[in-house]
Amino acid sequence: MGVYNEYSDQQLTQLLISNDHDAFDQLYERHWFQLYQSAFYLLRDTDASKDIVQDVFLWIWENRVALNLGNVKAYLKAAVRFKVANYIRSGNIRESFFDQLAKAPPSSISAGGDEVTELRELQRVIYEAILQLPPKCREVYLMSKEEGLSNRQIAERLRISIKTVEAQMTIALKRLRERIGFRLVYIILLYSIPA
Amino acid sequence: MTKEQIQDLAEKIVLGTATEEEIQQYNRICDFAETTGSDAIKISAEEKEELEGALKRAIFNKAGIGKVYRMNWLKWVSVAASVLVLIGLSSTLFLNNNPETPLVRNAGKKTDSLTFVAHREVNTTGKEKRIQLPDGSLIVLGNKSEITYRQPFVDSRDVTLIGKAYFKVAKDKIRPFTVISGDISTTAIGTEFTVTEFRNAKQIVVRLYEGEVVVKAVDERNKKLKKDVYLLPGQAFVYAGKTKANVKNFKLKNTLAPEVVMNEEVELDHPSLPQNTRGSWFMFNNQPLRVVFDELQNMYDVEIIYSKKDISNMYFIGKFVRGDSLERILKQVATLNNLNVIKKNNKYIITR
Repeated sequence: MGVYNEYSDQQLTQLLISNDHDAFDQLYERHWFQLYQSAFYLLRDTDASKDIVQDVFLWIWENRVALNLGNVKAYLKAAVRFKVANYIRSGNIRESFFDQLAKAPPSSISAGGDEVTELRELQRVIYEAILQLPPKCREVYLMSKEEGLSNRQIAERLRISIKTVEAQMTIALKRLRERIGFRLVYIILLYSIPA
Repeated sequence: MTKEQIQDLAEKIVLGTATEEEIQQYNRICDFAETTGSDAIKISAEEKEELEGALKRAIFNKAGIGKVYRMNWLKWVSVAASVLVLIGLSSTLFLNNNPETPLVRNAGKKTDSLTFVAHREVNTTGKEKRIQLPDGSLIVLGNKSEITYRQPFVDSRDVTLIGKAYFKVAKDKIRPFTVISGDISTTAIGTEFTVTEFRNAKQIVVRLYEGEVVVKAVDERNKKLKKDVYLLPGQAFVYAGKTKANVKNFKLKNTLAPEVVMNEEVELDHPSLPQNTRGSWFMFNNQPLRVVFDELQNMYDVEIIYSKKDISNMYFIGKFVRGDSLERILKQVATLNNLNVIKKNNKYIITR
């Protein structure tokens, strides 16, 4: 495994393409704790944080062929934050989270380059989530979101019924919310395997 | 910010409706909460250690990687992929006249691995599908099969396959052509060959018709395939999980079209649909817009007019499904970069 230490993150992601388990292992070793910390300091919930780190790494593995990450670290962090957003949205998060933020300075210090990287990477993650939708669903969703078309306009444009448009929109929203939902199954798995 | 405002913001992030400003705002919130959190609580060393192993096991298990853990290994064997490789030597030598695009070579840290376009082709049409690669190679992709590769090919020509495909490889001594399928990889230089890998079949078979190929284990620790296997025409290499690997002979029938050769083996192949049947796609990974537009021109066979100056220093990341309209793609690319698209006489004009 020696040489893997010396590979850059980008080289490692390249190696993933040929199913290189050691490369994946190295990426995990290198980044897991920081990602876990990111999630944990935000959520202060061990199980949820574990789930998030797990989902992020599985995502990387499942999409290893298509991934070509620029700044791997920034991307992973953005992916964690994306998943955290779902947690916040769903109302599972502790109340003190909001209390803290009420005390936060209104528009906290605007950083320089880092902030731009953070923004770009999170944009990328968000965009990738939409790309995961089934094609038809995605088309309807993007028409609505990006072109601001009404359901009726979409129906006319695509020559489908309004009912279908509505149904596709419902699926899109449901999928987007679910996709980043937590996979409790993993936790069970985690504890059922002898060390 | 109130609780409702924060939740509303998070919802927008999840649904992809957040504006740039809102994403930035969300990042600031996270930065702030993270700092507060790290001041308030610490993760002990024991806790960290315990987490590390358990998390890793869970991830590797779920990913189906048989790396360190026995359980995974068993699972891996039970889903052992099957590959059939048919190899023949092309009498036609495909010469690659396209000069290497220099963009990959410009050395800077940033560009190194960022200038590829990933392609995935899925064939569920019920018949073979021909795919012409820019290096001159031809792939005949079987039904229920999928293939993934990155363009442009730089040092090597690597293709990942699930299912079955016939490869007519353009001669290129410098960049070997390798097909990765399950546990094994098959490399040919300047030959024609076909590879198949169906996920539900128990074995991988490599058939050589003409020329020469080398079969290697993807994982060098694979005990059943310690040495590289060189095949002669008429020889088949059979790989059955990690339990068996040997070479057999079969009857050669030359001069048949790729499609015919492929179909003769169908019964042995146990075709099954690729797990992901969502279809073919292509993906840009931080390519300069110039490259994106040029690629799209070729793919859609239309003219895209732009000024190099307007789009210098602009890059694009995004994945599209085959069959997406060019209009939609261009619109997305343009929106993200504050450009305008006008369609005129079947040409697309990009302006600032």
